[in-house]
Amino acid sequence: MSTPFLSVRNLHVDIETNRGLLKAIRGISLDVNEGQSIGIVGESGSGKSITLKAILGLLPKNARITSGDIFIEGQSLFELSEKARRQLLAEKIGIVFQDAIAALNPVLTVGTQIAEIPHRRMGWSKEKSRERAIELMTLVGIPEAEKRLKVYPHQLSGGLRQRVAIAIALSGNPRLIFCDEPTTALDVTIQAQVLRLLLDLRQKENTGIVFVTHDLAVVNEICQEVNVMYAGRFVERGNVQDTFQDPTHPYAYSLLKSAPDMDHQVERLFSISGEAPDLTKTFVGCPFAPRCFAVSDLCRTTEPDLLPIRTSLSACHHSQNYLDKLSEARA
Amino acid sequence: MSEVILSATGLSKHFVGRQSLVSKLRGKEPLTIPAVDGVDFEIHAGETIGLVGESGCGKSTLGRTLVGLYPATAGELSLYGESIGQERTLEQRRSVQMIFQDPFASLNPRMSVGDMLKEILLFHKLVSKEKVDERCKELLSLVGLPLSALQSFPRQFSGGQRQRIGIARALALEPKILIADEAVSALDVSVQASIVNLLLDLKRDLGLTMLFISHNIAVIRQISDQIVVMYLGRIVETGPTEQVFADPQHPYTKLLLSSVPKMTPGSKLGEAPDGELPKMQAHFQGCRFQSRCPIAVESCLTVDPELLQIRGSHHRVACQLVH
Repeated sequence: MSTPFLSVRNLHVDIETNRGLLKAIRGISLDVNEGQSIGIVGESGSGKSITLKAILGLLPKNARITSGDIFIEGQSLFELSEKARRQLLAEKIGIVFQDAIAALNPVLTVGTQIAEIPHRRMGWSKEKSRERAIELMTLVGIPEAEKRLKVYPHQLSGGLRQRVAIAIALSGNPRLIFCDEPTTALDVTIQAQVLRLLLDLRQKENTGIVFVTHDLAVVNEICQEVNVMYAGRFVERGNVQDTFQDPTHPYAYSLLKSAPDMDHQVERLFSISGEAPDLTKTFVGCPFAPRCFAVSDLCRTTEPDLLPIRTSLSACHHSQNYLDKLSEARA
Repeated sequence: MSEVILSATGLSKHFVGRQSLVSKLRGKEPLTIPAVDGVDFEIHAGETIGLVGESGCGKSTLGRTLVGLYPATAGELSLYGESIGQERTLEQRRSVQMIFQDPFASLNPRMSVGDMLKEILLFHKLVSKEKVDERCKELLSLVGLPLSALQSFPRQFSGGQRQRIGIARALALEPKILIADEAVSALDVSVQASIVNLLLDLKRDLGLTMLFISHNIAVIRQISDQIVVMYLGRIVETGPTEQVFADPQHPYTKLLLSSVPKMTPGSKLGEAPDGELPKMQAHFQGCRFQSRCPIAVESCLTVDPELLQIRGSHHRVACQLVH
């Protein structure tokens, strides 16, 4: 197999908090191939945003990578100088955040912001960068692009701002776009437009997407692979179709069942008892054990590794027979 | 059909912007935002109504006007057939209660849960001083909180538990109708599921009547018997939930429902709708949705459609092309 475009190996991130050291990421590995779309889902505090930030070197001051390695096209990021690393990331990866108004510079026109990377980093002339900005704005579906070059972010609606943010992310011709909850703050009809845009970009430009969200339905609609995160680790990875049909990890199952679906009305939603573990405290065994319906003594002593089962990977001692346990628990 | 608890006729809430002295002297009209603009509906006993719409459609304003947090600009509001004036009686205030989106901002951080509940119970003279502790415990067990919560403060609870406290506080007043404004929107899905289940249980056990306001259409589907769809201050479609989901009539409802990402394995995103929510104006001409409507005809520019019944059912739609 060829080298994946992005490869993360056994990454650990600790965050210094006033309650003590928080083990936010506890050893994750991830491969993203050229043009692949990957979803990372999990609840708040599971570590999904921190994963993106760690890869991009955007961690807050109190957080640091304690071990692990990150490769882009086989090149380890940690072997590069700070300057070379930033240059490489800027060239290869674009990023779209949840809150476009916070991500955009309020005192620069959107044209200036979109043209910045072509002009500054790629050394294009002003005129050529401006043309590129118009091209990108048209690509992301901003009407009257030429006129809109001169507007400021506050003059645009939420949906258009997010499109500007996507245009900026695309301005360096990245091979991969990181999306951190890009549609969470948008209305549902506008969300549909932005998701459609991302899908079209992947098809047209073969741009890979890593999509971080808490909204399972969004991942179902636009990703090929889904990674379910819990307490700083991936607990399940599989293609979207199989995982949504037949999850192999009890947490993935519970999460999928607890999400309301607009296609079906059910008597009661499945709910997970208890809360996610406090990652500032040490614990033994599987972090999901206290909330799990398929728990056994083994789960309370040994944390399972992410191992293959069927077409997926699952971090559960009982993936093989948890479905039996599930029907037992129901009975 | 069961008894009508709350009914609104032509209910409107307009916000009027501030004006500078100069523009006042020039005789300019102040900026008016008709957040809720002539809304008619009824809530029947034991029913849950799901109110959906995108941001800025007036759903929260409508909720707040019903509770009395905003005075209505025009229209009639009545509780059990009795008209509610600008000044509500204590009894009327008690009858309509609300739970909010942000369970932390809506709880007093310096009051223990027990004190909070006691204060309202005693103020409204719902129980005697001797029995107040007992009633507080009852309320806590009703919403699934441990008795130890009585001595605790809001910061000691997680988001889901805080929302349970908000529900206990609203239920303490034995309201006739509970208005939940985005009550589960700030919660993670597993916690969201447990709060939705709690509300479903309360509805079954106490016969709770509820107006559930949310932008989350999947949650609305789970919880409501009737659904009301709003667009730019108006109701565009209303009817039994199953019927509206199975057979939406208004072009906006169709667009809204098709935009929602689905959980069905293998579901693929459909074509996205065009256009954005237009700005609120003081006066709209014609149908408010015509700028985004895929089937608009010329008369939509001039005729303001009324909310009319279709086929003699409880399903009502405001679109002249449907009737």
